[in-house]
Amino acid sequence: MKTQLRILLAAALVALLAGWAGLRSGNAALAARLAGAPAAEAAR
Amino acid sequence: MLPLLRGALFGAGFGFVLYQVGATRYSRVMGMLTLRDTKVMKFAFTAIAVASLGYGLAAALGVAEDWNLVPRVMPFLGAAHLVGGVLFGLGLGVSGLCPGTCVAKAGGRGGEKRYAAPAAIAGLVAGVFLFAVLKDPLTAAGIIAADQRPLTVHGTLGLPYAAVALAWGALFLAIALAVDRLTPEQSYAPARARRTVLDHLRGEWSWAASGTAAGLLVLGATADGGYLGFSGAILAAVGALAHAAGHPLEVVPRLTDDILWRAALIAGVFPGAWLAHAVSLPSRAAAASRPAKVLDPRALATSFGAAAVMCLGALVGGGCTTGAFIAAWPTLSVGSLAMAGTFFAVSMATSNARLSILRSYDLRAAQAVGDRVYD
Repeated sequence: MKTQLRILLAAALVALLAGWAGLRSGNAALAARLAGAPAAEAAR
Repeated sequence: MLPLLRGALFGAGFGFVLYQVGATRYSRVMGMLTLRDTKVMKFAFTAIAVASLGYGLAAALGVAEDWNLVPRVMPFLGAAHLVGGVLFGLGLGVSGLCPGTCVAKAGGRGGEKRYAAPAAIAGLVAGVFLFAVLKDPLTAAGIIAADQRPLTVHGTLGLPYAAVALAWGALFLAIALAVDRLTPEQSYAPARARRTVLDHLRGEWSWAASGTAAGLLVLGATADGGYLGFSGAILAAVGALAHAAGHPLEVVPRLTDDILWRAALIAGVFPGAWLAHAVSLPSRAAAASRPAKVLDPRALATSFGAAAVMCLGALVGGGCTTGAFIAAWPTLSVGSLAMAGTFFAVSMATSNARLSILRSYDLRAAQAVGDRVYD
């Protein structure tokens, strides 16, 4: 369990760092456009 | 055929995970709602964290549109979230079931009461018919909003989705860790010590591993053009069957690839959970003595009634524990926050009142039963 948790935390840290680098490199403008597509009625 | 196959595979994957984490167990769900066994809560928070980080990372790196990882946002439905949330919360607090786990419990042959899970599935179907009858009157009364807009937290705040989603994911991971530190988790010892990787795959999975798997399935379903929500999937499945029978429901007027994908999603949960049950290691207590299931008409009626109310609530209020919570909170939908916030408040109040005031169940006894029969 501890090993699995460490892997999860390490992966999350990598995702956060990569995300931070992506935002800094100018993708924030694109990210701002991603308001999300509405889900269909049956998506509930 | 392809949408059917792909939807069924995602459903089977999620059904396998639901069984392996113990989310199909009455004692685990009631333990979560009464904060006496929070494994399933940590599982859900981890799934939300993983999906949020995945969506946020894809948006931040500029690949979200290319990889089809633009989150599908549930629209805001107004008072419907309150009405639907109360109905869903009552059903969840009484039965310890949600739409996906009804099917997973039947597939995994869980529970000490014979035919209770199939009765719950029949209740879900009844809930769809109730919704088909009540949708127009509820819309006319203004309870279900006619003007449904995809309101989001980041949109309301005027912030980029990527930054908010990454922070949201980190927050939920931190909450899962805090819950792990501060609250208890019930342990069901396996029949034999787990040594090999295969043993670990066959035994009950940890909340971290199963939450990660569930979060990845949410992301995979989005990338595949679907949406991992089980109440909508039940609506789609009943709608597809009604079409096949020659009597289409007004709430599912056409059979699109999307409807077929969703119908297959819920159907796939059954074999997924069945497979998990077939390969899983029993608990030590179950290996020693496994009591025969009992036929209890009262349990059948409770399962049927609670599932019908719960399914109606989910369809009115915009989703269930997957469609309005695990798969929806990473999208930062305001409507889903309102829906799941309402149904968790009501289900926690209901289950705690039943435990401490009405004394209509005994959690320790339920946990002991769960150890022997995989409740």
